[in-house]
Amino acid sequence: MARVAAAVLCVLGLSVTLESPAWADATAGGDLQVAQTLGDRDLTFVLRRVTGLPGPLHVDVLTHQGTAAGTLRLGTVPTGASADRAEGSSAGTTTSSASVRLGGTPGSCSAALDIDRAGPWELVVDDGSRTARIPFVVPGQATSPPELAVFGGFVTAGVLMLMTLFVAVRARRGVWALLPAGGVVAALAVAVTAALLSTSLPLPPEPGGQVDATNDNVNDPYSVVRPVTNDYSRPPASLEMGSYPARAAERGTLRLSVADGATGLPVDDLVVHDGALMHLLVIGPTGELWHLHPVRTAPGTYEVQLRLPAAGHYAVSAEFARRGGGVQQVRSATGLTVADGSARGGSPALRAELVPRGPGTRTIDGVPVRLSAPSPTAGEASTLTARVGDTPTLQPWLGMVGHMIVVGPLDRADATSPARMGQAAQDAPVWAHAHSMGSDMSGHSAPGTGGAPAHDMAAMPHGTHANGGEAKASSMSGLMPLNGDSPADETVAAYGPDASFVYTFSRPGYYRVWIQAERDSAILTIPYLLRVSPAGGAK
Amino acid sequence: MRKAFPVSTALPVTGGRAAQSSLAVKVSRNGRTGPIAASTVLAGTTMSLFGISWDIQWHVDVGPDTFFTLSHLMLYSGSAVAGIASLAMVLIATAAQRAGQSVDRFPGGKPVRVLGGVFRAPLGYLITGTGAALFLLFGLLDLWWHSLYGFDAVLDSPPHIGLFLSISFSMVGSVIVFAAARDTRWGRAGVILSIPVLIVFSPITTKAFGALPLPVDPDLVGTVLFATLLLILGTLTIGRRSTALTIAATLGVLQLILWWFSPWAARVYADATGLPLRDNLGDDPPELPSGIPVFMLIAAAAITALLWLSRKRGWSGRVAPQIMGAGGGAVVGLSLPIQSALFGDSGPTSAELLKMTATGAVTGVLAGYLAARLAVLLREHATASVTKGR
Repeated sequence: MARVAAAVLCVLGLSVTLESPAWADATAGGDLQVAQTLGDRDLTFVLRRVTGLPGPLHVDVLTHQGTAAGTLRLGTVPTGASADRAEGSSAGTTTSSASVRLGGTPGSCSAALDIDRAGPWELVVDDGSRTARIPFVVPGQATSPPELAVFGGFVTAGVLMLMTLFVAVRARRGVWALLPAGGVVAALAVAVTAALLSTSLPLPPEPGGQVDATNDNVNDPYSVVRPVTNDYSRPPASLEMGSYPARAAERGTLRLSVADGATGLPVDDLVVHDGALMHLLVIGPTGELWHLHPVRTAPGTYEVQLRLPAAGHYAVSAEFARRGGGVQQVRSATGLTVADGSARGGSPALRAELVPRGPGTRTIDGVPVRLSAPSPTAGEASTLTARVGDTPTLQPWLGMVGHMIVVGPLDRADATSPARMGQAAQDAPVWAHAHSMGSDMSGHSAPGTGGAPAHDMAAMPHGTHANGGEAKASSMSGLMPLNGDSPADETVAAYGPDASFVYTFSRPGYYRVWIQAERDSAILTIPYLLRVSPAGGAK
Repeated sequence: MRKAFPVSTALPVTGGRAAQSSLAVKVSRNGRTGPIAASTVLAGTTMSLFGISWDIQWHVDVGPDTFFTLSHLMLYSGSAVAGIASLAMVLIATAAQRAGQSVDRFPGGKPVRVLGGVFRAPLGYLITGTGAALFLLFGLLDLWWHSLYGFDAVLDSPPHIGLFLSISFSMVGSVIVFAAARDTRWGRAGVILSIPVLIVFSPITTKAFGALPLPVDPDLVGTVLFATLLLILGTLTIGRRSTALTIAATLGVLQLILWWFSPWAARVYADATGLPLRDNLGDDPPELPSGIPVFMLIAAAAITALLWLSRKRGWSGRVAPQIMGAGGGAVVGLSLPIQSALFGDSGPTSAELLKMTATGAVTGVLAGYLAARLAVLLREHATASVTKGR
């Protein structure tokens, strides 16, 4: 019996199920990075993972160049509904608060708040004049049913083993010992089977990511509501802009309401994607681009403070992701029209260094930037590589080494006009937003890559084509979180200086392109004008 | 001490069944039962050892677990295999007694009466089986611990220490089983194989004391203590001149296999599950195998020389083991800082070398003292006369 059982166990235990699917960890929860345009300040909030309950929630507030000094008031509010009345009763009340003093120089300021339960929460940030509410989920410690079967099986086997020993030396009839001994074998069979299956069973829907989080499903994600579905997608959302009465060069607040496309109800299920709840792109008449992150003030309501310098038309689009669905881009059908400021008269001229140019070398805010875009052709993938500065000291902004906003195709007059760009962007067929995780690794390895802190892997595979994948992994070390680790935040200035984008321009014409990267805690926005030649034709 | 003829231990409850007809009696009398059961137990404990080395390397190379990994399964299955084999032997022994058969010469150590039982069970298998059962029970505590503190819980958490102690019990049981058959070739081979397994595994438990403000790393003291103790124990139990060197060489082979196996298995399994390796992996040596003393052959030579010297000079049995222990322990203690320097750490200072040598010598005295007494117990429990000469 022993031999057979041993042989079976060995075979089962060692037959590696090679086709078992990836089960990268999604629910254990990493750090949450949220960019917020709060008043005049551009801030990044990093909500560190809560490692124990009850326990502290460490919040790091990262400031940038030009962020005003001051004090923020932070608070935590549980928001989760629960079937248990007592547990749900404190929803909506502030359970802990702390204040953060922001210094005048860019950097990180920390605060610790108390979290006493798993479930959906809000981080409330008050700068004295407005309040941002950042939703986040504190995951509970859940044990999966197969895991329970594994441990239950092994523990039962252990208990029955002791029982068998006891019965064997005590019982007068030997047959009785076979009863618990048979149980040992059965319990082991259960445990081994569950262990082998545990990697291949599907995960339950993720509360906060795929389904709405409640206290109940966060604490036990496996209490799946039937019927089980693989399709968590939701209807599209519409974006309504409030009135914007501020004149040119005045401060004004733009209110945005997000409503469900199917019911018209406010949408309060935006999830953090690419480091923000909502990415708002505003393109002004002079061709200036703002990439802002409106704060959530109430369910379905967002607002952002603007100071638009010139009179004229501004085109607006927003990118956000609803829970359970993909990212959507919503372009405002109206845009904004800003009246002339009465006092000043006449639009201020655009700074010379912000005038769009073609590929080549230029200097923005004292940083040399070189863009190479070898003859972009419609319908073909083009690689645009921007070298921002000379040193690998780019910081990941919104989790990316670089961002590229593309608007077009435009005719030549609109694309180069210093006063009509807003209207042209409003009418442009394509708005695109591409990301870069570093330099292009598909061809020869560019010199000066390997921005990651020196370690053995970075030195090894450079330039070897066979190991291209590995080289890529090392140059973006820390950006792509592994196995539940958290991605590097903006305090890691170790990437670039090359940021490569691959984009396929669908039609020929003139395109306005803005490349954004963070260096020395300042976001650089570099405007370009690109001419895309027709496919297969003469240039 | 060996019984020349079977003393009847037939109990009044054995009834009228003829002893010869019982399957259990046949199995218990079969000469192959002993080696098969003992090597199954050793296979189980070795599985556990490989499982833990794999698991530690997995955590170093890949990350925290979110599911029941194959390395855990190997760890648990190892205990299950050892437990089932022990259980089978206890059942066979008790069944044979029910059939009127004496079990005084039953393989697996001296039969003892436990829990006020009517029947007796072989000591080695009792210890292995209890250790395996305890291991499986500690799994529940471990699950509870992880449900409180998450998957990032450390190696030296209380349930983990309980798990390690239980595996150590099973491994001790397998040493007892083999030592009881030291008159046979398989028994001696088993002692030489099972002692290195225990040498590798037992220091893990001393990580429990890692949080204490001790002048010396308790992990290193544990390594010196168990390596020296078990080396001398094996030598005195088998009593041959070459034993210490053979055990040390076996340990080296085990270390080489683990050195290759642990990172290989971690990487293959990461590939199979689609999980990436950590991106900050350097060329650090494998975690568990690099902690095994590499200079054990020198320590074994020292112990062998001191044993030879003590026999030649006729040293008293009261002090000879301690002298052997001090010599062996000093060598192991001195070698550990040198070993970690070889594997990439900073070179040791002479003060550190001196400290570790002194610690090794003192620990070795204790190891020698214990080893001599434990060896007496192991030799007392020999029950292998039935298989002598095989």
